[in-house]
Amino acid sequence: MARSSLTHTPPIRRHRQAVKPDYEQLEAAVALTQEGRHEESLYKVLAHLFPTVTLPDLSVEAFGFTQGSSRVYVRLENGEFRIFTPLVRLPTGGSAIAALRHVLTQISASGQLYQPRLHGDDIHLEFRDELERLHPAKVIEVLRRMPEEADRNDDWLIGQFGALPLERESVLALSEDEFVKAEAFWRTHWKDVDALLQEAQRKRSRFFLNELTAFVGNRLEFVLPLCGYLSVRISEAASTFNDSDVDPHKREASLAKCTKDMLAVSPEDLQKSLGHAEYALSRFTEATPALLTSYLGPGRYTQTIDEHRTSGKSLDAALALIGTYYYLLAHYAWPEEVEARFTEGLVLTSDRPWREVANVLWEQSREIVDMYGSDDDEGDEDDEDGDDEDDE
Amino acid sequence: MNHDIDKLGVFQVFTGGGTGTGFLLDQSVLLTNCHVVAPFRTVAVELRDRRRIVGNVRRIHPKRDLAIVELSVPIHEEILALATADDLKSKESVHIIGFPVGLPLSVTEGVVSNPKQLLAGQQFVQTDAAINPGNSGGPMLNEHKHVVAVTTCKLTSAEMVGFGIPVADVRQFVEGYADQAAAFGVVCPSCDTLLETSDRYCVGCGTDLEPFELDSYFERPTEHPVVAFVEEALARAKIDPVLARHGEQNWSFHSGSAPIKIWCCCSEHLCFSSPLAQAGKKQLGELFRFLLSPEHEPFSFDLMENVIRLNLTFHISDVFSDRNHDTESDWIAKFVAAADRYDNLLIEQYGCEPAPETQLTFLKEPAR
Repeated sequence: MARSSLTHTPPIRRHRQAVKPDYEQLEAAVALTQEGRHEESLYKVLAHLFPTVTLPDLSVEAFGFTQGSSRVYVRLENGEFRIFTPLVRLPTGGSAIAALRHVLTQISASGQLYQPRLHGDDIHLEFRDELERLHPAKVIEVLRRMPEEADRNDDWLIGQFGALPLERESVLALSEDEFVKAEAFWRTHWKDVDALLQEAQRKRSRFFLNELTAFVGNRLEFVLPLCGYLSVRISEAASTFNDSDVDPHKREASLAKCTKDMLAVSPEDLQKSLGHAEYALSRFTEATPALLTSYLGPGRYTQTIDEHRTSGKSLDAALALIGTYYYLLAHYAWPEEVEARFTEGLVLTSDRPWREVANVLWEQSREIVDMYGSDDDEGDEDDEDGDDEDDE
Repeated sequence: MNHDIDKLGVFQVFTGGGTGTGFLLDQSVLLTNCHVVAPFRTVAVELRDRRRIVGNVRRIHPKRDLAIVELSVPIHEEILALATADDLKSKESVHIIGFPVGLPLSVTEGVVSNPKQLLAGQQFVQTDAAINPGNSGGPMLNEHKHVVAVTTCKLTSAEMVGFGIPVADVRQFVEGYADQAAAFGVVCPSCDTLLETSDRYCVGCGTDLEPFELDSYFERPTEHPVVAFVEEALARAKIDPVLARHGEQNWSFHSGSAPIKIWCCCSEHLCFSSPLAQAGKKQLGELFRFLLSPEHEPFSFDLMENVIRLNLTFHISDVFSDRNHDTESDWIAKFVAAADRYDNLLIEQYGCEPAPETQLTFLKEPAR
């Protein structure tokens, strides 16, 4: 059935503002690296990322922290710096080969500093380097990306191949009241997606399909503390339906299958994939005025939204604006007043007709950008078409 | 025109700026575009068996976009004759031979749209034959297999509008080359005098050359720190960096039988990767356990589809560090040697098949 509006659900996910990194410590770390004082620099990097933590002597004792379902350890061994996180123990039987193939195709890769390594039957993600080769940027990259990778893959390895958890951090289950709301939202969301997908198939608009596929994940991430196997299954499907380089029919088919599968998920399975996980390092990127302007300020994207809004394609414009609001709220840490304005917009337009949603959010997004955005208009200029003669 | 194009003396040219095509004027001299080779003075030319040889750039004509490259080793493939007559007609068939978008040697055909099209004050042979990046410097042939033009560019804003440098200009450019004593010369854009040094005014016609920025062709190109890092390490690993270049901050070469590729995948990482072999159907458990073993550090393996790759990744801070790069150079040398060794090991001990790019000829030779 066609949708004439969307209902906004307040987040069940606990959006805890993470401890802000201490940038003075980072500057000190860079200076110490340049002076060749690598061990001191390393401690400063860790103090930058974990400003409220008292660090142990890393050559005596490992420092451990929790990032979602994974436990990460940091230590110094014989002049080398090690970061590792136990991932899973291999299952017995034939699925071990499939699990190993998954690790080699999906987790091992060129272009990343950490790699999975097998110790007996235990798979760890590991990074090791000499102290004098450590630059703060390198350490920060590994400390941020490696736990994310572990958090993303442990559930899949357990759910798909029967691998056994290793030092897996437990997540706090949702309260009864939270779960009731989460389940109701889950059903509503996927029914909304189903209806909007039919609209996408009718419209045959690449813009609408792009906005819909982005909306699918961003709204889920904003509302639900989805952390288990279902989250990984959705991400896997999203790698097709969210990829604008893939054939639109294939994207639609992937989204249709994902929607059908998600609507069929039992409450028990949903419950297993929900929980409030701890993240020692914030999962949210710090938002900046320039970022706000790049998404909602003048540019090709907002121009397209406005063209849809003013040419009778209110649904397209409304979905793009709602999706962008959810995206910005789900992925970035905003100053409280900016977050409040985004939330206000979503509440105001909940259950309202598309035309009203498009107009209200359009006007509101202008105001937000004017108040909190960046005046710096560099970097988003359209390329000028110059000489079109091209050497071959 | 109906013949085996692999026998034609047309070869792919590689520099640190990109790739293009060149064709033999004789067994030791290759003609290509200036924009394919400049600002490099040494280039790599890949033979049919994928071995590469060094070519020295001896003469360039920046305005007419032509270059002569002297090969370090003579090549014994069919030499294409330059057409003697300058009588190309509209609708006459032409064939473009080259390496479009890095693909193996290919031919496309079309007709002459205009034999004397004026563009930016110069005459070109305009054709509707498909021209793509990588075709530059290749021959445009007539039905008699004679070179009627040298492929140079196309209009990106239009379909099927490609251009070649007319053979008359090519003949004029190569004239007197056999007697050229200077190691390198740049042709004056005004009078065609061969300039052997970077002077402000042309010794032949007195034209002020500053607006043409010819001095940049006489200078060694500024080396990006990533290029210096990789090429110093390759030289220490006894790999000629000139032969390894494959475009901007890209390198590719074979270490024995194993192909090795080097590139920056983003602003933060410099990647070394070698597609070694394809996983077989047996012993997979043992194979995968071997690939994930910690013993391979600092290297790692991954599977791309079914191809096993050996990888080594550097953070960009390793490149820009003030300390010496002995550790990194040592790892790179070991990586180059390991790639040549591991493909044999994977095939012999784990029942793998050679990877599509494995040099089968060298598979059985002793590893480096």
